[in-house]
Amino acid sequence: MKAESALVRYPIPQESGQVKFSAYERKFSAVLHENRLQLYMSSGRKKELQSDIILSEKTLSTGVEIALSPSLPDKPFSLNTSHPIHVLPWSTVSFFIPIPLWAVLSVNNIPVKDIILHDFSKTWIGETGQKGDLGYTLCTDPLSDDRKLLPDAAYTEIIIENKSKVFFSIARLIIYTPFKSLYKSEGGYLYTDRQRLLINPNNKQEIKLLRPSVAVAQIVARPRKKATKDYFSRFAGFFKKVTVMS
Amino acid sequence: MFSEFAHFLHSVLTHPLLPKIIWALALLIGGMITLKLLTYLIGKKMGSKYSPQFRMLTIKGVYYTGMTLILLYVLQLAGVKMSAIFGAAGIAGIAIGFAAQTSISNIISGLFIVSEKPFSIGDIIEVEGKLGIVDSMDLISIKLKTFDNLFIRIPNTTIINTHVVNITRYPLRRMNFTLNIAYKEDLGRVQEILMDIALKNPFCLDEPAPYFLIKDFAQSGISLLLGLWFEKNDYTNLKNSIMTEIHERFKKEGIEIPFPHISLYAGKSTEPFPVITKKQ
Repeated sequence: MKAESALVRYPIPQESGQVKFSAYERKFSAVLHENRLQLYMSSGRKKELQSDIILSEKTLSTGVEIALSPSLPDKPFSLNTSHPIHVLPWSTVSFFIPIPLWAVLSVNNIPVKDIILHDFSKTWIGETGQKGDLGYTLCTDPLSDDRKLLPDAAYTEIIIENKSKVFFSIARLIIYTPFKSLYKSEGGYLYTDRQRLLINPNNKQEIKLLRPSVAVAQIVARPRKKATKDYFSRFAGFFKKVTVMS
Repeated sequence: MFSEFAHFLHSVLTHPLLPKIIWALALLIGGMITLKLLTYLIGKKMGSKYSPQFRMLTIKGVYYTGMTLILLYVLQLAGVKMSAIFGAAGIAGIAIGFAAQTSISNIISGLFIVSEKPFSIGDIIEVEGKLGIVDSMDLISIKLKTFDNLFIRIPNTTIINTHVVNITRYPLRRMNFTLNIAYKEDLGRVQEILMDIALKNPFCLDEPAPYFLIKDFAQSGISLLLGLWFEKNDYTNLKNSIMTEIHERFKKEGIEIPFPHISLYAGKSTEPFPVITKKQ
């Protein structure tokens, strides 16, 4: 997605108190009535209230400007591909995954609320029902390059380095979206941090988040959570559960 | 009048016990303030490292032990013979021990509950058929608040002696639906429809996958079990949405949910009860 089309900014005129605009392939309308600001989103025939904010006198006196900026969803994804990802011994594979975006509504540069542009199916990412994390299911196939650009999505590059002598067939992969930043490339497209999965000779996995390989112009959104080593190691069991090793 | 009052005041102020009483009072007040400060510091130091129950027990333990010691010291200062008090306390202890057997048993059970941690404040538990949210865990009892806003007090010994179901212990739960379908229905198609309903429901988790089981050839139909995993807070949402979706989809797909019919007979065993409809 082009970053320019993802970042929209509209002042609400005092006279009409209303502004209509299109973004993220959806139609939006913001209505300012007395001290209440309401944002509606329409997709198809459905029009839904996304946000209802009571503004202070001070905010109203300086003028109201709303902005929508792209953001990554709040939970990790469990990537389900139509075929397992095969990784041969002593080899590296890399591919791109388009991540559907959400948006953040800001009023006078103050972030107010996540606008959920895509509803995802919930899933459990964990070895057992006692330990793990809630996530979203993402059913898509890996792309070998980032030339096929999709609307309302950001690219995340996944690198799997297999330094062991074992052949891996990965059925599900976790994409740690809450820990990733969102960047605007010099070409004007949106990318997230790269995710490198290193499988050591002793079959232990190591996860690292790295800046995108493309030239980055600016950071569009910072991570929602701070990444910790403990968090990633919690999913070691899950990786083994969804991976066939031979 | 004035001279009488002055005389009384003089006798009070020159009483040999007065310094002792002032000292005892100062000790009592100072001790209480120090203990309050100490328990506050202990509570702060323990922070969120320990459970609220353990924190509460430690604070109360420190406070009451400290108060007992201060009182004993103050009484000693006031010239009360401690041997007599201890003697009386011994006899009183036996008497109280017999009288407060249940309470002491509850206190000890409370300590076991705190160390075992079968649940904590805010959990939804079921004890002897009573379901509610744990409101507080005290020395003698736990308090539940039911969903219809009733207050239930359960003695700690009951918790120790009976089985307790902690519904919200784990982040995931499975909701089991038992459905009956008519014998004429295609089981494979029904399974496909149920799985489709489950996977499209936003509250039902994709993983762990929904569980389907052909349970039984029952009297009035084939009994099926559909187990759906959900995040523990989505219970009501899932239950209401999935019931509606199954009902609507079965109706749309023409899948029959059989239910037992009751016929009433009036006297004669062969003839059914006559039903007369009035013409308008």
